[in-house]
Amino acid sequence: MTYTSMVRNLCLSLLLAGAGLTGCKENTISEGVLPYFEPSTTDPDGGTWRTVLLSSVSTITVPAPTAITSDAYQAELTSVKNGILTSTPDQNTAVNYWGQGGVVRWNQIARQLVAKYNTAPVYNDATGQYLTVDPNAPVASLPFATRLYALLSAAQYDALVVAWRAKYQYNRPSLNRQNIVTRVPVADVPSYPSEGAAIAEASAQILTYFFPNEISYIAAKANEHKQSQLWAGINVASDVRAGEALAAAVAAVALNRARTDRFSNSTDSWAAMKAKAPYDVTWESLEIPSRLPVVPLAGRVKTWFDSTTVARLAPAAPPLTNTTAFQTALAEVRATADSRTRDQWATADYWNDGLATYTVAGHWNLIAEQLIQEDRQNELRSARTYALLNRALHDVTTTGWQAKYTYFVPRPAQLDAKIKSSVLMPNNPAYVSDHAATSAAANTILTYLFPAETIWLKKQSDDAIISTLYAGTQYRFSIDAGVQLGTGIGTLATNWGKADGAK
Amino acid sequence: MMVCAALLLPAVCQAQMPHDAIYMNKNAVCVAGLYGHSTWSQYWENSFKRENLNIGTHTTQSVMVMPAIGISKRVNVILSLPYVWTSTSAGNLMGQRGVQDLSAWLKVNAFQRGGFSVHAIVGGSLPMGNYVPDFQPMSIGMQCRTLTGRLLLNYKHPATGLYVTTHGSYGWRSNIRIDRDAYLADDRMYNVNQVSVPNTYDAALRVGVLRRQWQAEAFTERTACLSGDYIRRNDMPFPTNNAKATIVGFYAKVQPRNIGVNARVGQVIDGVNTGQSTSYTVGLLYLFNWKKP
Repeated sequence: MTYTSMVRNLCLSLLLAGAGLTGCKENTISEGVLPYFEPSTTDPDGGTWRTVLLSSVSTITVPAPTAITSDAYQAELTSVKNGILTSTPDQNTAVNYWGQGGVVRWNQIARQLVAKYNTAPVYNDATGQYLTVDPNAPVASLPFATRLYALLSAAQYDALVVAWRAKYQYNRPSLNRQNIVTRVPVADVPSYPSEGAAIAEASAQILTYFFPNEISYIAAKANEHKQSQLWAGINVASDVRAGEALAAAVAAVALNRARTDRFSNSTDSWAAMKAKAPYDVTWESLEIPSRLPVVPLAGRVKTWFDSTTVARLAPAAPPLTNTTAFQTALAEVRATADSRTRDQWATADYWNDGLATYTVAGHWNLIAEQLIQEDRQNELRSARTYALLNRALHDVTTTGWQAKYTYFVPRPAQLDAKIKSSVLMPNNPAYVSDHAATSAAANTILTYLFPAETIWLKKQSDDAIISTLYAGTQYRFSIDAGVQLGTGIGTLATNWGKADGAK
Repeated sequence: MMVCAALLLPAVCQAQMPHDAIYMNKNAVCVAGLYGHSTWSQYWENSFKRENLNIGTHTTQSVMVMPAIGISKRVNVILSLPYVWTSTSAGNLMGQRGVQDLSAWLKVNAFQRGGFSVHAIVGGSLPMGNYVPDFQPMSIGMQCRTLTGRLLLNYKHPATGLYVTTHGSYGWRSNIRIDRDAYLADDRMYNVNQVSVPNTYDAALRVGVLRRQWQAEAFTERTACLSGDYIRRNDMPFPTNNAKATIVGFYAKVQPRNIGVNARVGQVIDGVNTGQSTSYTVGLLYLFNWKKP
């Protein structure tokens, strides 16, 4: 081989390598683009809908706005018009982001923060005790997450009921009716007070209460959301200020409830409860070394729906470990784990919702988001959907947690170490299944709200319910009891929804 | 081979190799049957070195067939297809097993002057099994398609067979799909089932003796990703992690006639987002020669 042909060979080889590499797509991830839509209803009677946190919508007074003929208002309107003409790319991005729905966006932000803080607590390895958890960086367990979603949704919903009442009381015309073309489609509702600002303020206050370390991230989001209402030509400055003010008043009520709902005692000692558990073999942490559970007393937290009715839905005593019923259930878990198919694995993985996720409740919030968008719900209706769903999911979790720390039923692998799971073993007692209870409740409520999706929802729910048996972490009796609990509380929420004034 | 892809994952090893300057003659095929074994009981969670009693000792084993085919004296093709299985000595995580990824390498001796040579190597791999990619550290692979470009320099002293080899590579890895519809990476929620797996690079230095019937070598390798996030405190590893490792080891081969054996041992001495694994591979080699007498 001559020298030139060697060089030619070398070049060819490098070219080949180069061509191969440049032919590959770079690793960008597209999450798709959510659709923009004009909401399908305006709900002029929304101000009469039943509030959750407020005893009555009239407990919060929204002051009368200045007339649109006033100089002050005209100056605000001119400012918005000029703003649209001089909008920057960053402002356009913000308008587009928030234009897909404030309630939906804040729910996404909440889910992201839950996933970020949903970590296994850090322990002292020698003692198995927690290292002191920084209250500014909490562990986002399932009870923590469902409580957050419920308070967030309830505060958003109440703030919007108050806003809707004032909107149709004062009837300040929308900017669309004053020769401004909004940058994104919006509901044709009176502009005062701003629903966007109300959502932003309520959401930011609730989320900051749960995640104090995220204060600057949350404040930046809230500020952008409020400003985007001006940049989009949806509201003038006085609309935004009024929305902010009424939401701050609602948030104060919500936070007062949060401070007194007994969650702060949920990490108190549980040893006495275990000692008197009415069960023959009690739960032990399967982690090595043995770990404390995260919030064992979260079952004592105040419920959203009538506490007596909720208490009546508490699961019955599970079969003792020496009964045939229990042994059959245990054998089924073992057989399933031993012969787990790839499809079963995929279902268990899809519904795992373990560490670093928004939890199974968050997963149902994502499903609700898709339905809200399909149904083109306005902000008030979106908040109502989430408030019904998330209050039920919190009560389901609370009641389920109470059963967990009453019976202390061991996880299957505690009684048969050969059961291998496809997910990390949750560090809490088995009975009842959170996944089953949560999914049955969500299915009940969402089927009521979105009857067109009944078949699809049933499929989702069935998969979620059985997923923990596939994963090797739950017994069938625990799943069945979860379904019963979830359906019961889901029905409570549905009944509330039937009577809350929304049609 | 994509060592980086296989850090908390199986360290599937190599015999007749996409990273040496050895070629089969035209019409010669050397088939290696290899068994690999890799364990770790400590790992780096981000840069924090720890043990995990819920895993105990993590073991990855593999068997694979690896033919090296002489297209010409200067152009070889190497194929490999491993079957991999994982297990732990403690805890409840289900071990995984299955056929992993089919790899193919094209190796070209592009420049040779005296004992000095330059080699261009291109490799790609395709997942062959429907294994779960994000059940780490138990998954047997990542489900990535990969494409690697490698430049290898070699000097062999003709009289003694002493050699020194160095190479560097860039590895592209495709996005993957997982069973879930959302995941957290880099403190951000991705509401999609597609995951970006970071690209890789590696560099290595090998020093050894290559004789007609045997070979012995000491090596050090550095593999890392070009981007990626870091395992959070007490969290599980994920395909987006930037896994980095420095490995040292020895390799030897004896092939007096058509039949031969080889062995490799490797030790991870430093890393990030990776297991501190100790690995060995043993292989049986058989040379087929269709050259007319």
